[in-house]
Amino acid sequence: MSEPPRLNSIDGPPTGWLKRYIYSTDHKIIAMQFLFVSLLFFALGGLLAMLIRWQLAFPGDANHPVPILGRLMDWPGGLMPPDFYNMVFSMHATIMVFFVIIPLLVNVFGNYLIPLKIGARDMAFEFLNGLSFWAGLPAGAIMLAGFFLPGNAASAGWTSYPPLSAIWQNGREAWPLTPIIINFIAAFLCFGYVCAYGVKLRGKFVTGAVSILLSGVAAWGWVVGVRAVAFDGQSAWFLSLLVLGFVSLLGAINYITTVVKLRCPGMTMFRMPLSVWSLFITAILVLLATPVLGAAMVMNLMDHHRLTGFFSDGGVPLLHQHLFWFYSHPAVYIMILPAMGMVSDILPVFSRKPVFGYRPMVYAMASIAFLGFVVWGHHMFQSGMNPALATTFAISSMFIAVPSGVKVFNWLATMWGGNIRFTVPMCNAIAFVSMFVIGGLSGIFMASTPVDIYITDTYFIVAHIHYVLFGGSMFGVFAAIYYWYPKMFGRMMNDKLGYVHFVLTFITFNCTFFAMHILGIAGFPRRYADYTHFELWAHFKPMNQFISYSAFALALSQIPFIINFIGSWIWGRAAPANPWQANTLEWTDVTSPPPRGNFARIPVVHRGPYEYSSPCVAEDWLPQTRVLVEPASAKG
Amino acid sequence: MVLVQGAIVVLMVRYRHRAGRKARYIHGNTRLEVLWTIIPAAILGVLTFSSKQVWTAIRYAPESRPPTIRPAKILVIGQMFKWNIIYPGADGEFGQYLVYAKPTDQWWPDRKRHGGVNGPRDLPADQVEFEIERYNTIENPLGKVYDDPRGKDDDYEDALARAMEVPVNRPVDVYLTSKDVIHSFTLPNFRVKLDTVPGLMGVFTFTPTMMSEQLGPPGYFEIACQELCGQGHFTMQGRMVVISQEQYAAKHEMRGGKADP
Ligand SMILES: [Cu+2]
Ligand SMILES: [Cu+2]
Repeated sequence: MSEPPRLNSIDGPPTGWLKRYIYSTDHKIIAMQFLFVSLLFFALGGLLAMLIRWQLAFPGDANHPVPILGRLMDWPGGLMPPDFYNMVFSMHATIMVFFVIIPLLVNVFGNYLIPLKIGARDMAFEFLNGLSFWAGLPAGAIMLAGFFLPGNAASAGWTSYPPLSAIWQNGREAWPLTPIIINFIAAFLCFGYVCAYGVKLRGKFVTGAVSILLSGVAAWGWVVGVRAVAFDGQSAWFLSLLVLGFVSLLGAINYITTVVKLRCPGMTMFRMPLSVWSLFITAILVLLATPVLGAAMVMNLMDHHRLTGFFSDGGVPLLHQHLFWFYSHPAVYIMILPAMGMVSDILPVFSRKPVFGYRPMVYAMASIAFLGFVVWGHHMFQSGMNPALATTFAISSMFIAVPSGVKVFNWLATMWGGNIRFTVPMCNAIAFVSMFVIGGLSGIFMASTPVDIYITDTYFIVAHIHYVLFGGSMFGVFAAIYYWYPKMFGRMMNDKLGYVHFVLTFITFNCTFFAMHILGIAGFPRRYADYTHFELWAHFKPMNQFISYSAFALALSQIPFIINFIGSWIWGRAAPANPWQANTLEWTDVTSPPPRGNFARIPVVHRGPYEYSSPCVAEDWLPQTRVLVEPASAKG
Repeated sequence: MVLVQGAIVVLMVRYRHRAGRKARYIHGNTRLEVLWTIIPAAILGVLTFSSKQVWTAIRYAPESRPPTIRPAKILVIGQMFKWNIIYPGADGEFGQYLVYAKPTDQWWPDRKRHGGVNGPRDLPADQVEFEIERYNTIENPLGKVYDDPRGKDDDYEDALARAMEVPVNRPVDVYLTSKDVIHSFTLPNFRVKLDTVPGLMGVFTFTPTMMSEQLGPPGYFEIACQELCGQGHFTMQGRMVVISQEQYAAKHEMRGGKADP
C-alpha cells in the first residue's frame, strides 16, 4: 500500500504510534475506541441488571443473600437495602441508555460507517471527532464516581424526577480517593488529547514534557471543579449527562457536515445506503434535542445546590418532566433509528434482493424523527398535567406507529421473493424485526390514554422498553457487529459461536421479557424493592424467579459472544475485502480493514446501494462503483 | 402481531437460499406503500377517538357531570411514605392545606400559643428553627390553614395514614396532592392512578360497584404508590374500604351540620 493521501485538515498523516492508535483522528480508530468502552459499560450495566433480578427473585429472603456483594458491603444478613436497590436500577438504566446504546449506535457505527459508505476519506472535523471520544471519558468517570461517594450513586430513577432528585444524598462530605483518581485519569487523557494537537514546540521531548505538565494541571483543576459541583451521586449524575451532551453534539455536527459536504462524486442523497440516512437523521435529532437536556441538567444542578427553585422548593416539578422527555423521547429514536437503518442494509444483502421501497423507507424515518418531537407528553399522561394535553399527545403518539409500521412491512417485502442466506448477521437482523414488532405494538397500548392509566409504571412498561431497546437496538447492534466485524478487524468471526450466541440470546431474552408483559397486566409495579407484603402481587414470586433465572441465563449467553469477539481478533481467518458480496463502498472499494484515509482513489458512484439480483449482470450483486459497458436497460 | 411473526417464519422458509436461483428484482410498489400507510392510520385513528371518551369520563367527570349527582369527595395527600386521607365534611368543600409556618409569621396558624408566644416571629432566635420544625411535623403536619371557613368541618385530625372509605355505587372524586415529592396514587383493582405532585391538585373519578364486605377477605382494596418516591417507595401501602352509602353519609358527611340532600 502506498502512503495514504494527505487528509483535509490538521497536518498530514501522523507518524508516531501515539497519534496512530491512541490519540488518533482516524474515524475508524475512534469508532473502535467507542466500541470497546461501550462494551465495557454494557458488562457493567448487565451486572447491575443481575442484582435487580436477584433482589426481585428473593426479596428479603435470608436464605438467599446477595452473592459476593452482600459480604463485600457488609449488609446485615447479606440482604440488599432498599435504597441500594433504587440506586442499582437507576444506574442500570442510566448506563444502558446513555453509555451503551446511544454510543454503540451513534458514535461507533456513525463514526465507522458514514465516511466509508459515502466515499469520504474521513469525517469533516477530524480533531473534533477525536475530542468527542476523549471528552466522553470524563463524563463516564463522573458517573462512575457516584458509586464511590457517600450516600450511593443517583437513586431517583433514570428519569431523576425532582423533588426526589433534589434531596441531598449526603451532607456534602469530601470525596474519597478512588473517584478522585478515576476522574483525574480521565481528565488527564482528555486534556492530553487536546495538547497532542495543540502544543507545538521545538523538539519532541520539550513538547511531550510541556503537554504532560499542562494536562496534569488542567486535570487537577478539572477534578477540583467537579468535586465542588458534584458532591453526591445525584449531582454527579446531572453533571455527567451535561458533559456527555457535549460529546453527542460534537458527534452530531460532524456527521451532518460529513454527509452534506463529503459525499463522493455520483453519491446523491438518494443513492446513500439507508444506514447513512438513518445516522444522518439521528444526528439531526441529537443536534436539536440534546441542548434541551443540557439546559435541564444545568437547572437541576442549580436547584441541587439550593441556588434556584426551578423544579423543587416551590418550583414546578412538571417542568423537569417536560424538558427531560422533550430530549428523551427523541432519544428513544436516537436509540432505534440507526439500528433500523443498519438492519435495512443487512436484510437486502442476505436476501440478495433490492430493499423494498427505498424512498418510503427514507420518508418513514424522516417522519418518525419529526413526529418524535411532538409526542413526549405520552410519558406524562399520569403525571398530573392537563388532561386535555394528554389527548393531544395521545393522537400524535398513535400516529407515530404508522411510519414504524411502514418500515416493518417494507422489511418483510424485502425478504419476500428473496434468496435468503441465514448468516449470523441475518439471523440477528430478522430477530430485530420480529422483536421490534412486539415492542412497537405494546407501545400502542401506552399511547391509548385510558389503558395507560393502568399499565404505566408497571412491568408492562419494563417489558416494552426492553423489547424495543434490547430486542430492537441490541439485536440490531449484534447484527451490525457480526456484519462489519470482518471489515473493522480484518478477521472473520466464528460462525458456530455466532449461531450459539444468537439462539441462546433469542430464547433467554424472550423468556425474560415476555413474562414481564404478564406481570404488567396484573398491575405489578416497577421500581419496588419488595412486593411480598401486597396481597395483590405476593403470589408473583415464582414468576419473578422464573424471570430472574432466565435473566441469569441471558447474561451467561453473552459468553460465546465475548469469546468470539476476542478470539476471532486473535485466531480468526483473515477476511477478504467483500466476504458478503455486498454492493456498498466499504466492501467493494477498500480492503479489510481499510487503511487510514480509506480510499486510494475517491470512488465514483453509478447507482443505488441495493442492486442485488439485477438482470443486467450474471452475478446476483452489482457494486455501486462498477461501470457497466452496456446500457443499463439491456438484458444481461 | 401473531400475523407478522407468522409472516416472518413463512418468508424465512419459503425464500431460504437455494443454489442457482436468483432473487426477484423489485424495487417497491407505490400502491402497496400507500395501502399499508393508510390502513394502519385509519385503525389507529379509530382507536384514538374511542379511547378519548373513556379518558374524559375518568379525568373530566367533575366538570362534565350533571349537578344533580353529588359525588363523594376525598382529598389524598401523599407523603413519604404514607397516604393521608381527608374528608370535606357536610359542606363538601376542603379547606386549605400544606401551608407551613415560617419564621417570619406573626401568628401560629391555629392562633394558639405554641412555645409560649403568639407566633414564630416572637421566638428567641436559637429556638425558632426547632419550634417551627416541631410545629410543622407534630402539631400541624398537614399544614392546615385554620382561618379558612371551608375547612372548619373537614375531617382531618386522623388523616395520617388511615384507611380510605368510599361509598358504593356513587362516583368518588379523588383529589390528589403531595407534601414532599411526587408519588402516584394507585388503586390497581379499579384500574385508576394519578401522580400526586407537590403544588398541583389533580382529580380523577371512579365508581365502586360492590362493597368490600360482599367480596369477602381480606375486606379491603390495596392502595399502592407507583412513582418512585425514595427509600420506602414500596412500603407506601394503603387500604381502601367500600362501604354502603348510608354508612358513608353517617360517618363522613354529617360533620359540622347536616349534609345536603
Ligand atoms: Cu416516548
Ligand atoms: Cu410514594
